[in-house]
Amino acid sequence: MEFEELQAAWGTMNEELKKQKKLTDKIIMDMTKQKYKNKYSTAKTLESLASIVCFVMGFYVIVNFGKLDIWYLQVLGIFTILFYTVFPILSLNALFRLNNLDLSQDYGALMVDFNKRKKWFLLVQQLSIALCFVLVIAALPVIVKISDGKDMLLDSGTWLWYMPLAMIFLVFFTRWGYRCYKNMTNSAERILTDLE
Amino acid sequence: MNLKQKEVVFVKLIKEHEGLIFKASTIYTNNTQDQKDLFQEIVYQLWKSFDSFKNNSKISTWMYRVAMNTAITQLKKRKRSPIAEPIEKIVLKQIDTNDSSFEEKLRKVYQHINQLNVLEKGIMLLLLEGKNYEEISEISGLTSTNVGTRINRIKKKLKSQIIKNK
Repeated sequence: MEFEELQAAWGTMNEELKKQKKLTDKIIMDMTKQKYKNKYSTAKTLESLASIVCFVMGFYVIVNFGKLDIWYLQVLGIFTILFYTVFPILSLNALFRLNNLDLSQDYGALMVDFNKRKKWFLLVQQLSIALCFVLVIAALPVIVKISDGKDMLLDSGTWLWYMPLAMIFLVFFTRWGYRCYKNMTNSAERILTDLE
Repeated sequence: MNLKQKEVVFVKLIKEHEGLIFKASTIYTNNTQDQKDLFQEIVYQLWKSFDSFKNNSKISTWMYRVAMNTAITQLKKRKRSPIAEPIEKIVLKQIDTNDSSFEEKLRKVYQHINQLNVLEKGIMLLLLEGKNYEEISEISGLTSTNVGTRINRIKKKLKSQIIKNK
C-alpha cells in the first residue's frame, strides 16, 4: 500500500463520514454543558453516601429514644435526631439545586442564578460545620447511653481525652471538606464564565 | 451576537465539521471511551475559543489547530493506560460499512498512523486531509521547511513499514 493508496482510503472514509452525520443540535450543546454537570458528580456521590449514614444514625436514635431516661439526654437526643435527618436533606437539596442549574437561560440571568445557588450551598455547608462541633458533644452521650446504658456526662475522665481529640479531628476535616466544596464551586463558576 | 445566536452558529459549524473532529479524536486515542471523551473536550474547547476566532484564517484551519492542541494536551494529562482497542474498530463502529475490502484498507491506514509519534500523527492527518505545506505550517506552528522535512521523514517511515508488512 503506497501513500497515494492510503490517501484514497482516507478519502473514501471521508465520504462515508459525510453521509453519516450523527450529531444533533442537542448533543452538541449537551457536550459543553455536560462538563459543568461533571463537576458535581463526585460531590453528589459523597453527599449521598454521607446522607445514608446520617439517616441510619438518626433512625437508630429514634428507635432507641426510650432508653434516654434523663431530660438532658432527651434534649441531646432530639438535637442528634434533627441534625442527622434535617441537614442531609438540606445539603443534598442545595447540591441538587446547584447541579440542576438551567444552562439555557441568558448569561446574565445564569450567573445571578448560579451565584444565588452557590451562596445557599456554601451557607448550608458552613452551618452544618458549625453544628458538627455541637454534634460531637451531643451525640456521644446519646450513643453511649443507648448502647451501654451509661450516663457519660457524669464521667469526666472520658471527656478529657475525647474532646481534644474530636475537636482536632473536626477542625482539620471540616477545613479540608469546606475547601474542597469551595474549589468545586469555583471551578464550576470558571466553566460558566467560559460559556459566555 | 447574543448567546442564542452564538449557539446556533456554533452548532451549525460543528455539524458541518463533525468528521474533522471525529478523525482528530480517533487518531490520538486507542479506545472508544477515550475517543468520545476527546471528541467532547474538543467541542468544549472550540466553544471556549469561539470568540477568539477572528476570520483571519479559514474556519477549518482554526478547528484543526484547536483539535490538535486539545488532543496533545489531553495526551499529556492522561496518565492511565487503558486497554487498547484497535483504532479501526472505533472508526468502523462510526461508519457502519459492509465493504470488507474498504475495511481492510482502513485497517492498514490506521495501523500505519499508529506507528507515528504524536506530532507526526497530526501532520499525517493534515496530509491525508489534502492540506498543503503552508496550511500544515499554519495549523501546526512549524515552519514550512520543517513541515517538508517531517513529511519526508513520515513518508520514509511509512515506506519502511509497508515493505516490512509485505
